[in-house]
Amino acid sequence: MSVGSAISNALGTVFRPSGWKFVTSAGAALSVGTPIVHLGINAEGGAIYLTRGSERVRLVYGGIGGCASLSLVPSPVNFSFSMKQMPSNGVVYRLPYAGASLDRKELCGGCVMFEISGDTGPGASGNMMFLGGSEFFALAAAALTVGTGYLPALIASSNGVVFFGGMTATLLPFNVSAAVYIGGVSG
Amino acid sequence: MRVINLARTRIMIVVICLLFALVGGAGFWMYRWQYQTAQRVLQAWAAQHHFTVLEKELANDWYTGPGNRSASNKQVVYRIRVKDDQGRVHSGLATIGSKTMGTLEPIIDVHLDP
Repeated sequence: MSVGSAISNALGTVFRPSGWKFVTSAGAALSVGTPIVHLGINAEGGAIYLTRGSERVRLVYGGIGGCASLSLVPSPVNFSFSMKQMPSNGVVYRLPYAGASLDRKELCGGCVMFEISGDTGPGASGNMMFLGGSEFFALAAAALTVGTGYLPALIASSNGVVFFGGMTATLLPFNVSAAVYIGGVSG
Repeated sequence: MRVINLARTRIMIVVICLLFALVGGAGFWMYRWQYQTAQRVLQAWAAQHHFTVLEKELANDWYTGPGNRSASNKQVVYRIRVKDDQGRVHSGLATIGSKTMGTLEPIIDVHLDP
């Protein structure tokens, strides 16, 4: 077995088809600077729209996090958003902790989102969002590891992951950034 | 069931609004804190060297300082005028903080004009 196919098989056992189809997404993010170079703190909120057969769900998410960014326009704050009418695309996978069907309830709970984005005003972002993480498990891990285990435990206990991306619009243009958010999903 | 979902969604929207307010407030507080710290460090330097700060004016380059969230240099730079204990007035440039950590490192470098 080649290394490539071994990796492919390993990924296939972790990221399994969920049956959910990504429809669109919408969101907004506020970014503010810190005294540390290139680092900021962010708040993000939004919704992703999924379908499975006749079932349609809107998952509302919100989170807080940090980012590393480069910007052309100097400002201590920036704001970006996307609307559901803007082009976006994505795919939903079921993770090992999920049940056989990955129902709507399993997608709700704690979430972790990684995002990279770039813009010239209009721009694009790519996101990897882990859904349905166990806050209880994450808090227990955090208590045992002086907080450092929270994020890995929330990811490890997630039921699903959504890879999605699309068009964004930014108030002050010409930025590139990478961000991570911790929050929750309701739907 | 639908009612419960709507209630949860509304609670989530309220939480998101609170998160935005929290981050906005934290950003505003950090922005002010950096300049307050810079002022405190400058006053401490002046007291240590028996100067009185008469004037200070922000002199950061366009892409530096707390005013740019992704700056590669977070120091606060002031053009200052100070009076010594013999009444002589000096002007110069005060650079406060470190490039990478800004005013989290309360250090100051002052170059008085000859």
